[in-house]
Amino acid sequence: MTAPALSETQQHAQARHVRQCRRESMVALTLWSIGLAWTLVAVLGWGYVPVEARSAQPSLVWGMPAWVFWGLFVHWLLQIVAVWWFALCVLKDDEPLD
Amino acid sequence: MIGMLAEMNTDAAAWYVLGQQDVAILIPFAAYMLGVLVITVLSNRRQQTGDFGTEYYVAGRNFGAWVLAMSWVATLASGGSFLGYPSLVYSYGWSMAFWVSGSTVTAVIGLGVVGKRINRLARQTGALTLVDLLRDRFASKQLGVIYTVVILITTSVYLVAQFVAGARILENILETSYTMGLLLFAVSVVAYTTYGGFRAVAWTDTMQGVVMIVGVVLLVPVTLWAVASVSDDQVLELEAEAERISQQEPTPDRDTVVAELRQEIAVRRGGTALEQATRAQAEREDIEARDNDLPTQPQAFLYPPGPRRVTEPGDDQAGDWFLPFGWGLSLFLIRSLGAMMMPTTVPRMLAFRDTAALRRALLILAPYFLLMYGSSLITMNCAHSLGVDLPAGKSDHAMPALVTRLVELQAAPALLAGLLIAAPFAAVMSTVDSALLVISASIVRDLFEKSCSWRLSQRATQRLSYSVTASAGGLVCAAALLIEPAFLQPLVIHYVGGSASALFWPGLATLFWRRATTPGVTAGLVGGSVVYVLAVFWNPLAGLITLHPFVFGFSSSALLVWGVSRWTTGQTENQLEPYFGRD
Repeated sequence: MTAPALSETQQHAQARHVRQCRRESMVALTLWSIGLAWTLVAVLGWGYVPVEARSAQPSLVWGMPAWVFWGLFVHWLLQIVAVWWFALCVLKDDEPLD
Repeated sequence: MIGMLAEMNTDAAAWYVLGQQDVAILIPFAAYMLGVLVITVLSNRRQQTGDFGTEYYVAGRNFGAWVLAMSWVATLASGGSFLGYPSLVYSYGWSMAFWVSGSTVTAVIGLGVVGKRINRLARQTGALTLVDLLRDRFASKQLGVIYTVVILITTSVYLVAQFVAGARILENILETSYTMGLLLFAVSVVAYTTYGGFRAVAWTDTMQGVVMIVGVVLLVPVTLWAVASVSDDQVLELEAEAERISQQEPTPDRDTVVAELRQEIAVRRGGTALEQATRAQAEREDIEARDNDLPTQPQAFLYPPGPRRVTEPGDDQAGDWFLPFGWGLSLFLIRSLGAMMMPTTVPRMLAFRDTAALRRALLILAPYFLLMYGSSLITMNCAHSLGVDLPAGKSDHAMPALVTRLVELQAAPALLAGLLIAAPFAAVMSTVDSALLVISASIVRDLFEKSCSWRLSQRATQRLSYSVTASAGGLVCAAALLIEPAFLQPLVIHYVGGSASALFWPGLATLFWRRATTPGVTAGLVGGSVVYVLAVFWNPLAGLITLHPFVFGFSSSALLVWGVSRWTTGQTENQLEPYFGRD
């Protein structure tokens, strides 16, 4: 099975579809990059701390270590909001070919 | 999958004990199995109409948001998410937060990057599998065969691991032998997958996705309430002790002891249940380090790299810290990027109705992983405070042991305990059914019909699909009987890492890159696989950083797809137009 040939109009629609998909992918990959950077900063800055830098009374936020709260839970909540934004504002309805 | 990345220790002996305590605990499990049966029958009736292939492999391309979201996530989450990951949190504490950090972006990467593009091209070309798309774009049967073989190898390996997991759960719920558990699991899952096809798989996955998340989320308030309750009892005991000592004859130490007790009481009263549990984790001793005379780190259960790795005799990583930075980074990459081109999840992208369904699926999925892994992090870090004390090497019992403890404390109602029995079984079943259909589609559609050009009538295709699905289940069942369960976890991890190393870049280039060529995609496919396998045996950066073989396979595949495509002649405009159009 090969893809059926497209009419002139369909080819334009297909090109717009590809451009839009690439745009959406770039936004998704940007969110991924931010997620990676956030995680690395939090984990290296507050997670993998040298033993001598650990205080006797660990810093807790809402009952969990601060690095977990800021590095994972806050990050995760922001990513949830970002995914909702992506779904509602970035992801456009696909233009039909015919 | 991703659970797939957790140590997949699947023993759960305590389930049977639970079921014996209160038969009501088994009601959700029985209801779940009944639900699977009803859905299968309904799905098969729907199959009687329309084209068999389109109905059996992509369910008429008519998935709505809920079915897409739940079936995608249920396929991704295997038994490891509900038994293995909790087991690791129990063993290594809060350091396990880094382990799942890649899941923060799994949904947007897994569906947002390629979902719409795959769906559009599949509708346009009539593709029933991703291999159809690759083979047709590059007009290369050989490429289709190679891609299919990689899918078959990785998915079969994964299936064996999941069959063993399912068998182990039934073995423990019913207190039967491993062989009987395996046969029961195989018969049930193979029967409904074969009979109901993709629609049955997707609908049961949807139910399974809901069962899974409801179970683990309800566990959080119940566990925290139990920790607070136990702590209140301990405070009362401490107060009584302080009062008793203060009534004694004055001694030099008396006032000091009483003051310390009052301070302890104040701390316990002042903190939330989770704070108390985390402070207890801070003081927890690294047993592995103590027993092996190795240096320890203070608060090892609060920070990465965590405590010493719990090892078994012969383990070549004995004495290492549990989560070196490079390994945590590798897991971030696998957990986020590995979901994009995974053979078991891609079929969902060929089957959803329209962009609106994809949009709503993303809205539903966004919080799912946080609820799933966040609840395990919280509840399992409380387990020690509730007196769940398992011997070394038995942490795989952590989830059933916690539920048993909660039932003992009268914190968890029987129905919740039942849901927690059904959740891991649902997770395993939903992964297995999808993988079985992937194998069936690969063999019938990609190898026989497309690569070997078999011309089959609809009835013959139907019979062949049923036979292949059932035979694949039978063969995997036989393999699960022969393979030592102890060696399964590496197989599960290799499925994710290996499939992403081989399939990610060739798939992405096919969808988005005009300049991709047949030799380039083939080189990425073969090269990524070969480098991955080599890196399993030899780590080129050993001594510098501990990286998963995926990092090497994935990087090599990217370089090969890009380099070889650039070096070879690209496709003509006529070949490209149906896929990329023209301005």
